[in-house]
Amino acid sequence: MFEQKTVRSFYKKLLAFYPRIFREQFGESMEQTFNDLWNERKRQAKQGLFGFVLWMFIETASGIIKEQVLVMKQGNTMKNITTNPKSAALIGLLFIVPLIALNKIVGDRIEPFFSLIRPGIHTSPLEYVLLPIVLFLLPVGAFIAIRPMLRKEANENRKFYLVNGTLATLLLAVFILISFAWGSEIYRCDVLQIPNCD
Amino acid sequence: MANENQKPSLTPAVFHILLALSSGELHGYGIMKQVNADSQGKVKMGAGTLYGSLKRMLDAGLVKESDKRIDSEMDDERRNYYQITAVGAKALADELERYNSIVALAQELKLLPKNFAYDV
Repeated sequence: MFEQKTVRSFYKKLLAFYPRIFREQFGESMEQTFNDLWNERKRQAKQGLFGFVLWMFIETASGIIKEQVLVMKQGNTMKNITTNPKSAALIGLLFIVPLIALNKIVGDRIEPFFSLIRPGIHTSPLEYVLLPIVLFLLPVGAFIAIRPMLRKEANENRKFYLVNGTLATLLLAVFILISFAWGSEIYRCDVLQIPNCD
Repeated sequence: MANENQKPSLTPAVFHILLALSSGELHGYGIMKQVNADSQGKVKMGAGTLYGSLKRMLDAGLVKESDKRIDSEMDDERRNYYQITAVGAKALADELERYNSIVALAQELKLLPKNFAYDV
């Protein structure tokens, strides 16, 4: 019923889900052990192979979950993600989403960004409190995007990634622009108390 | 409340692996067979549990990897062998001592079944 070659290749594919370090250290040995157990089961002709295959796959899958959880607990996954240029750029980009969402909620009511940065008839106090929070996410996103460029390569040099650099610049530009606009609004309306400021 | 100096007890998997390796170096499959034999078939260890435990035991210095070599009784594949370290042997001895004192207490309290063959 079960072809050893097919099952072995499925098992090998399953082992690919282990964290990389674990797989490099034990992957080959685990395959060997699987084959040894398979051969032992085949010799014991009375016992069927279905139960064995099912048990091995379930037991190994639970081991994979355990190892992945341990890696996540150690924070290695986050470190790996943020040192990879593509995933770092993607995560950095996600940090602008809250600002876009907030602007979409309040900006469409009258005029983009101005209704965002001034509370009043168009903006609720809660949205006003949310603005510094979502603004602060922009430099955080920029830092994550450029993180792969901060890491030194084996030859002690740093690599430049165009997409990451552009994204970080964009995020910082938006941060500076809105912060400046917001600051000048507060200065004009609340400090100088210019009439009809809104 | 636990004594701060008291070492945490070993997990069943770690205990059985140390017990299996106490009689000599073994590869993964060899450990599985030895554990099965030591427990009279009561402990069935899968590859996920075995290698996950071995990883943590290597990190803790309870076992170490020996040279990769061929098992002449099996095939021509080179295998990783594992051996118990002095730290591992000490941890096993401590655990056996702990079991010993528990059995002694159980005996004192007459909690052991009548057919229990272990004489402390």
